[in-house]
Amino acid sequence: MLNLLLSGVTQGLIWAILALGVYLSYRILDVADLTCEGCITLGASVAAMLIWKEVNPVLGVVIAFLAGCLAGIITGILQTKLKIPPILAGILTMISLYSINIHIMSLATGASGTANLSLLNFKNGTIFAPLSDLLGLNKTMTALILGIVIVVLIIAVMYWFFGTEIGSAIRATGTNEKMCRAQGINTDTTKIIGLALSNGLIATSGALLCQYQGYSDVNMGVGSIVIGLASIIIGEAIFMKAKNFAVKLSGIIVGSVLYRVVVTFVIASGMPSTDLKLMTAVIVIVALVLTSFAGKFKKKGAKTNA
Amino acid sequence: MKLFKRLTAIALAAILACSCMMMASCEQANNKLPIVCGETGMNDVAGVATYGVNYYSLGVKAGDMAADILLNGADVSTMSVQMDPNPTLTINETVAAEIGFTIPEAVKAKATAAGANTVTRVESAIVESGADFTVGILQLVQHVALDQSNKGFQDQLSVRMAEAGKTVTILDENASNEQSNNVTIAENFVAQKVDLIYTIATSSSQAAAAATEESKIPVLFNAVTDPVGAGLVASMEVPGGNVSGVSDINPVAQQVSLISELLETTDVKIGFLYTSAEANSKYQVDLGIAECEAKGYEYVEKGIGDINDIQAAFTALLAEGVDAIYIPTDNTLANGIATVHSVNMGE
Repeated sequence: MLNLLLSGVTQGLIWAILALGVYLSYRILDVADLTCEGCITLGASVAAMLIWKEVNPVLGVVIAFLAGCLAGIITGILQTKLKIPPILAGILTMISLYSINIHIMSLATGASGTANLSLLNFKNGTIFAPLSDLLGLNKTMTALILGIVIVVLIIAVMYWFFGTEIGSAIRATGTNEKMCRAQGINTDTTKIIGLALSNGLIATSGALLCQYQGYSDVNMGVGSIVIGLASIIIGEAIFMKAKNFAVKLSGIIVGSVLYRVVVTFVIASGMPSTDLKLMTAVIVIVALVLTSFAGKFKKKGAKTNA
Repeated sequence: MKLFKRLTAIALAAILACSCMMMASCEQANNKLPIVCGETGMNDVAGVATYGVNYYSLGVKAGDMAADILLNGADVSTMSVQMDPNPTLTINETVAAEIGFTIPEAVKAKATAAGANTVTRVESAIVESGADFTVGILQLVQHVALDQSNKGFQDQLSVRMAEAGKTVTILDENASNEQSNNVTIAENFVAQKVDLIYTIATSSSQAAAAATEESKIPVLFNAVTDPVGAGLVASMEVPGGNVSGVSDINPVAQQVSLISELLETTDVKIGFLYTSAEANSKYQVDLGIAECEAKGYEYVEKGIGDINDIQAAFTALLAEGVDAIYIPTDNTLANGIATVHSVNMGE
């Protein structure tokens, strides 16, 4: 039972980084960015390829983050400079990344068309191996601790960044773009920066994920946007009244962990495996309904107070 | 003069139209090519003949390995990766007749009518709880071939358990093609301390291998074409870890040579049609190309991105003037095999 819980929490923490990235585009910038599904695989492919090339795994994660930023910048340029509708811009980057990811993984093996890159023979090259030795813990516990550290670090940096001038400008872009431009903010630039950071986080999540699951696969991004959105919605449902930005971000981490724990226990409950996708949808619907109902009550309360 | 110009223009247009029609009709006539598929299920729909592995038989083989581990304490690290030892030649006279291709008598004589030998499941050996052993099954996606290797495994395991007077609980999970579920399901099996994990498809097997690093629970894989390349085993003969299983590699060399036998000439040009994103398919195509080079056949390869590219890739192969098409065991093309057939029929 405890093992199951730990396994769910650990995976949830890794996915939480993706959820934070999705939150940045979906909530802060108010843009539906579908680059995500290609970008998580991009992060995984870059990190896995660098591990094959015996690059330091920490540096590998940083490079994966930068690769993700680059993908975000491309989506941003497609959206702002080339005036392609946001959803389509994201889809275009996502499908391009499918081919690019195969090319990246092919760099490691030298064989063209490598769609699956195994890290099973490179266990000692992953970010978890040296830490696991250092802490004297197993892989799940190491990943759990590393996950908490990274997530806290990201929240701290995001909290600081979105308080700076440029960070505030990005938030303002999502809130009221026209007003923003009236204030002399270049909203194209703020959108591009926002999307770059969003996809950088998503790629970081992929970089850690591939080292945890032991492989990178061109199809591993399938369904990831749903996981990201579900985490945000569950987090918001729980931390409904949160005003503080750091608390809101923490809510997403809780949402992501809860989502994964629920999926873990649904699987462990012996439910027919064909119903897994249906259950996933039900979880998200329940969270959505909870938020909207709670929102209604809140409004009614406000009226009576007035 | 004006009239003359106009007449010339009409004549030119007519010639152009005629030549276009002729080219189109030529293409129509050449459209119907004999296809050899990597797998019997695909052959049933679009192929004329093939040497095939049978996913049910592969599942049965994995079931035997599982029983050896659970009942006889066999050591996974020394159990060599199994393959379909004796691929059977299957011919498909229906498709051959449809495309107007005559299968040579020599090939017909080789084909055996014997179907796959199914095992009768002993229901009493599989129980919900209180069993002697617990086996977790992790399958990547709902898919005809993969379902067959799942069923073959369970059937054979039940038979072996019944023979030994033991019972087994089977936890049958499917990641529904969402790879995050691979990890969740594999770690769930480890947490539940199952006695053995049976994985179907490459990424599921890798996730299970990574999840059992510490517990060393035996993992048996199936439907993995290149287990060494996937990092699952050190070598096909001696896996060396807690992972072994059954490879679904089809007899590519025999299948490619079969094309030459079907056309009754060694002067052939073979078109390879496969999904470039699938590592397993790429691996088979490389094996096929090696065979072509050894036997001196000409070849062209065309990779597709997804199911929508089939028509374009097929036309491109026709334009290259291939005599026959080889399709490896490929998930995308297996799903689109009906499309391949209708494109071949010129529909």
